[in-house]
Order: sequence, then C-alpha cells, then structure tokens
Amino acid sequence: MEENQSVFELQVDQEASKSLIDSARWARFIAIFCFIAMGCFLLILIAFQTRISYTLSNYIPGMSESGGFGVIIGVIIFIFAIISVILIFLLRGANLIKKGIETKNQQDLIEGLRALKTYFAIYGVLAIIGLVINLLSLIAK
Amino acid sequence: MEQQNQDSSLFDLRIDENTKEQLRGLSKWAMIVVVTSIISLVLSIIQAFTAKRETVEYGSFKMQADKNPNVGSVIISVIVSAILAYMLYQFSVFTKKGVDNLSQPDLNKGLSSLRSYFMVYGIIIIIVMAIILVALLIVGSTAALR
Repeated sequence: MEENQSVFELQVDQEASKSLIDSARWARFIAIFCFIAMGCFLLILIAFQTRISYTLSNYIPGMSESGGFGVIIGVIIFIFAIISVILIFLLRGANLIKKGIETKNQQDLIEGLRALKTYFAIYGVLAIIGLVINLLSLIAK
Repeated sequence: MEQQNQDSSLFDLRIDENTKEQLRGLSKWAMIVVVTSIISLVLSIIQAFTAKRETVEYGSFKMQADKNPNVGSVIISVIVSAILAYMLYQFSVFTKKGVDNLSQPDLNKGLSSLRSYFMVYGIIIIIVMAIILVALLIVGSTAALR
C-alpha cells in the first residue's frame, strides 16, 4: 500500500533539485548584490551631500540646503527599508531551500518555499499599490 | 541500475501536502505579479506614446522637457519585463499543473522556469549596475578634469 502510494507521489528528483539549487544561488546573488548596491548608493549620496544640497536649494526655491538633503535621505531610507524587507525574505528563502535540498531536510525546504512565497506576496502587493497609483495619476491627467 | 534508481528515489525529498500547499501559494502569488506586471507594461506604453513636451518652471529656471519617459527606455524596459513575466508565468502555470495533477515533468518544467527567471533577473541586475558604474566613472572623470 505504502509502496503503491509512493509511485504516484511527487518528489524533488535530481532535475528538480538542480533547478531549485540554481534558483536559490541566483536569488542569493540578487539579494546580496542589491544590499551592496543600496549601501554604495547611500555612501555616494553622503559623499556628494554638499553638491546635492546646493543643487536642490537652487532648483527648489524656499528649500534650505540641509532641509532638501534631509528630505531626500529620508525618502531614500524609507524606500530602502521596504526593499530590504523583501530582500531578507528572498535571501532567507534561498538559503533554506539550498540547505533543505543539500541536507535532504523536508522542514527546511518547506520554510524556504514559505519565505519565497512571502517574497512574491510582498512583491505582488507592492506591484498592485504601484499600479493603482499609476492608474490614478493617468486618470487625473 | 534499476535498483540504484529505486534506492536514490528513496532518499529524494517528497513533495508532501505541506510542500504542495507552499508551491500552490507560490504559484498563485507569482501569477499575481505576472498580471500586475503586464498591466503596468500596457500603462507604461500608453504613457510613453501620449507624452507631451511641457515647460518645467522653478523660479527663474525654465526648460522644455518630456513629462513622461522617452520611447527608447520604455521599449527596453517593456522587453525586459515581458521576458521576466513570461518566465514567471511559465513557473506559475506548470508548477500548479504539476502539483494538482501529480505530474513530475510539469513540476520540473515549472521549477526550471523559476531558475531561468532568477538567472535572467540576476544578469539584468549585473548589466544595469555595470551601466551605472560606467556612467558614474564618466561623470567622475569629467568633473575631475574640469
């Protein structure tokens, strides 16, 4: 009975394992690369703080040099915080899926898939919010 | 040889009910991302082709500019997004089909599409970062020469 059932069961076979491990590797690379890129971007912003503040105060009348730069940094940190949450789920998913397959641990695989699902869920919700804002701006024109 | 295959399949991870549930959820959210991506693509195409030149004013500063992004950059982003959406669509459809019909080839095809999706995503990120780096180097060297 047990044997007959296992014939019809789905398995993470060699091909599926390879696909999942490769997916995990690329996902890990994307997450780490994006973290580094965000860090570099913040460093560049801080390095060019004086120039950016000066340019902003020239183009937007009534805005002080430090005020303009503060607003920009605030908005960027807020956006980066959201992106970081998404990337943490992607990284967690990638690590757990890889670990689960390499150590043949079912629980790690499930947790990895769950983290990846959360990544796509947050991505999906943000995409819907972006779409609604885009639609509203198109209608308002 | 057959005995060996049987032994190796004994040690393979099983797609149990919990794993199936996660895979179904994953394919559902992937499909939502695909649908929103396609609608966004259509919107960005509409915006690009209905762009008007407008005068932007900041105090004494005046300039003529396109309010919307130019057609060239929209075409590139549409192609890239369409490729990614297609791969994610394939992952979503085949994974769901594989899990629902207990079809190993479909499940494998779906997971292979997920690999392609992340691979293309990674390569695009590398290309974009390389372009940004080159642009920064050019701007930096131009500023240093002044």
